[in-house]
Amino acid sequence: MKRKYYKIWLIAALITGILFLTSCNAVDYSAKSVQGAVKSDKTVSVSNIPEYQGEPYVVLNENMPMFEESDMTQTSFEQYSELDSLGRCGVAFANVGMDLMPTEDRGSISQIKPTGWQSVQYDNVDGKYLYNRCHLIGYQLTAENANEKNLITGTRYMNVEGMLPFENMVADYVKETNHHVLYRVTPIFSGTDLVAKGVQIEAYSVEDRGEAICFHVFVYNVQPGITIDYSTGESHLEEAAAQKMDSFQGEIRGNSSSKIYHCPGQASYEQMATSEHLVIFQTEQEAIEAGYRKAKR
Amino acid sequence: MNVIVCLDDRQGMMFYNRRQSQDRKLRERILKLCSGNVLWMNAYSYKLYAETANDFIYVDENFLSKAQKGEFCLVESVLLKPYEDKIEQLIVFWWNRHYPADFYFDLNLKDWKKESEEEFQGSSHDKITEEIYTKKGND
Repeated sequence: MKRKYYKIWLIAALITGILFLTSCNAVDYSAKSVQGAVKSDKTVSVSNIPEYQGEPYVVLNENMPMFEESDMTQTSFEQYSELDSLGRCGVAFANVGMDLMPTEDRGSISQIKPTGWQSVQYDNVDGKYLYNRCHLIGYQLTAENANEKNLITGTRYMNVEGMLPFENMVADYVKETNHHVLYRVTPIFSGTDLVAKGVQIEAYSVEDRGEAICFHVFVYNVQPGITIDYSTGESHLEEAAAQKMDSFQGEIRGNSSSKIYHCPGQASYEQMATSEHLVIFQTEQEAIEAGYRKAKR
Repeated sequence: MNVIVCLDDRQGMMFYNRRQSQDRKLRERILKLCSGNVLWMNAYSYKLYAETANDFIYVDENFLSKAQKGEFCLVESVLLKPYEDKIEQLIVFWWNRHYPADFYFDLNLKDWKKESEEEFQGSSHDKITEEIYTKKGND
């Protein structure tokens, strides 16, 4: 008798384990689809997402999200998955309406350390920091501050070039129409990686049945010029990017009177060398932080 | 003809056959701008303007070919390069936002002279910038 129970327990444990692994790696398209939308039997997983080709995102399933008809409601909601056994975020799902949107400025989120978090800086990254605490559902949509179930380790590039444009489009549409937008973000991890390979974002405007907002994309968690070890979050500058930076010769020349800075090769760069208003910076970022802006020519 | 376009920070106009954004106050401004003159657009754009029921709006899929001198054309989903010689004035409304895009404005603004620039608040956009351009060499 005891042996029989042991077998049942073993089978249950195996099934649970398989479900856990697949839930981290894959999203079943066939189970979720907007009625009338193009259906697909495809499954999103690390293995069938196209390689990063220089664009921050790629369209999935002919851009059709895979919501169910029962999701179509004019009542706002937001749901965040429990962290998994590795402490990783899962699916974040909301029906974004005006009542969920922020009424005050965003608070601090620095106390959250998402899985794979590393505080590392590179000169070739906008703002220098490679990683941001990326909201799965952006603050401008559901006003979530330091919610650990909604923050992952994401590159600056994914955050600003990949996710933000889609958040902007949805936020402005909801503000303009007072309608609702179904919005689901699924971080895609490979195996036991601590850093997601990217996020799958689906959105659909409810009241107009997707006429204004309808998309289904995968946003790559990459940073051009930097190689990331997704299992740990560690990173290094790619050789080509390092060589490019090494070949950069010459200081940045600022004009303390106009608060404009000039890079080597720009029109007034040589002229600035003898200017009484010359201020020298080692990097453009240094100049920007000092309140200077780049010369247009 | 005078062409009106709405662009994001990267000169994007559409993503997957949908406009990037919309704004009620911007529509009112466009209608006021064209008031008393013909405003051409295609059926896709007209869906946004249908409620205003203005009899000076003409809807046609080949509107850029049909528009006459001095008339206005609202362009959301059509390439402009083939019609560039016909354009007298370009009226650009900047969303001052970055949206996804796969269809972009195809004229080079460096070939045009900026005559004016004005900012205003939209109904859902904090700051929209209106810029009016004329062809360089038309002075």
